[in-house]
Amino acid sequence: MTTTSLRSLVAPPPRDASPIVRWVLSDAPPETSDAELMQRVADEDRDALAEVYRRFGPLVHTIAVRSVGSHHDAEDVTQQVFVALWRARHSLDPAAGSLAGWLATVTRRRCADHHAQRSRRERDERALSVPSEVATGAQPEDATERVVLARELDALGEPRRTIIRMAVVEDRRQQDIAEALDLPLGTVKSHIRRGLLDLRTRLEEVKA
Amino acid sequence: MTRPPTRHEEDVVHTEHLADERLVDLTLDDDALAHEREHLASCAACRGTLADLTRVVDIAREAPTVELVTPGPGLWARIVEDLDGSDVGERIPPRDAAPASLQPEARPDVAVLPAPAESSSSPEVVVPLRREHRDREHPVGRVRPALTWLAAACAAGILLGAGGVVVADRLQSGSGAGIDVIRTVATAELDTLDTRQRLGTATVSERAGELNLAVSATELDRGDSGYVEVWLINRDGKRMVSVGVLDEGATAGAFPVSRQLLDEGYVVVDLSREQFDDKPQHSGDSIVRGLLRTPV
Repeated sequence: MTTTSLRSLVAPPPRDASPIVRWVLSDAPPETSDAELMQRVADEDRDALAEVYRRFGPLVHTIAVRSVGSHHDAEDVTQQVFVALWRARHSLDPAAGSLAGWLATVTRRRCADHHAQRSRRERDERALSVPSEVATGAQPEDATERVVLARELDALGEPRRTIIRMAVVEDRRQQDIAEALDLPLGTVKSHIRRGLLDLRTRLEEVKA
Repeated sequence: MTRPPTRHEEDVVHTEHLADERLVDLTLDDDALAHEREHLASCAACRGTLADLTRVVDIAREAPTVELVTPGPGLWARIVEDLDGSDVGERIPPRDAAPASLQPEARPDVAVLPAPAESSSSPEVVVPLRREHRDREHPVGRVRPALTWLAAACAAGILLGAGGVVVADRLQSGSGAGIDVIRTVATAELDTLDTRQRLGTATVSERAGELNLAVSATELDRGDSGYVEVWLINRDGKRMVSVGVLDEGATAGAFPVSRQLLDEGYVVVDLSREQFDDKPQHSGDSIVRGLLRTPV
């Protein structure tokens, strides 16, 4: 009964499909791009907002949970973020950055507001000599960048996701990956290059 | 090659910026060639990009420790309510019959998740049939008994795979027998993750339209001062929801669950060791786990 990575054990891929077949299948569905979705929200499409929530709710909520601690407070933050997205819809510009970047930045700021309010409240309570049980003194965790990249990695299509994981997380050499996956070295290289440069762009969009 | 062109044509060989793609190679695998090293030593821009990429790799390396947490099932309804409250006059009428505030409290599962995109490009293969069915024919907020849901799901053969047929048969044979009958919808064997030791079972049963998840185990090592939390993990391995916490010292418990959760693919039961540490997300320390299947 040891600690085991969740990812490794949930939903193992079907045994009968070869990796290549799985990749082809999972690459197949051309869903609405994030940029397209952003444009639709900008054009007042509430259904698009629902789809944004479906797609990015876990990103926003996970950042919030890690920062503010309680699920309840995190849901308040998540709610504020999606309401803010709708209110800001007219200023959304897909050319200026991604939905993920926008949402992560706003979430991070809302979490900071939350902490500021909480410490003001605690200070006031102390001033009034009301005993405070909340003051833990713990520094809130800012996992924004980690969560953003985790979500980006998850959202990658195959085989790029597998290749990036092997290169970055498992720290395997490109030649090694090419052999393990039976792919040309050039293919592996270009997935890694494009993939990491995209991740860098995403990270740059997350503002303080 | 998105780097800006060099400023001076004459010293092209040694001062030409390194391509971003090449900098990726240097970040991960390759040793810099002599002239590349020379350039890096004198070029802050390329060093900056290299530092950025190294940071990307460092952060991405920790990504597997991040479990994405899905917001609770009632949150979308609250957001809609918030928008409707603040947007009056600038919005087209609500697309669904009941405003969020009128949705039945006790059944947050019926009303909550946003409809999938209407886009015709949405992939039929991966979007469960029932989703469209639900949203088109059963307006948000209308309560549907579980039997209808089960029958619909089973007719479409999508509840928990091919085994759904079994449940459909049972429903037919049991029709008219009154609604207050407990039916087993799905069961899971709970095994340890490493040694696959069978430590317990989980059962989803349906009674009077409500689904209940019961778990029981022969032994649960909850550590020194922790507690055991019950989760439903999505098939996709990325999303999970907390179902509840076992009572102190207990090795069994029962929790109401929403059928929509199961329908959305939250079919892996997981019991985790948690500490009283203000971290509501899954500790990553799973004791046992099992996949819900319809009974054979």
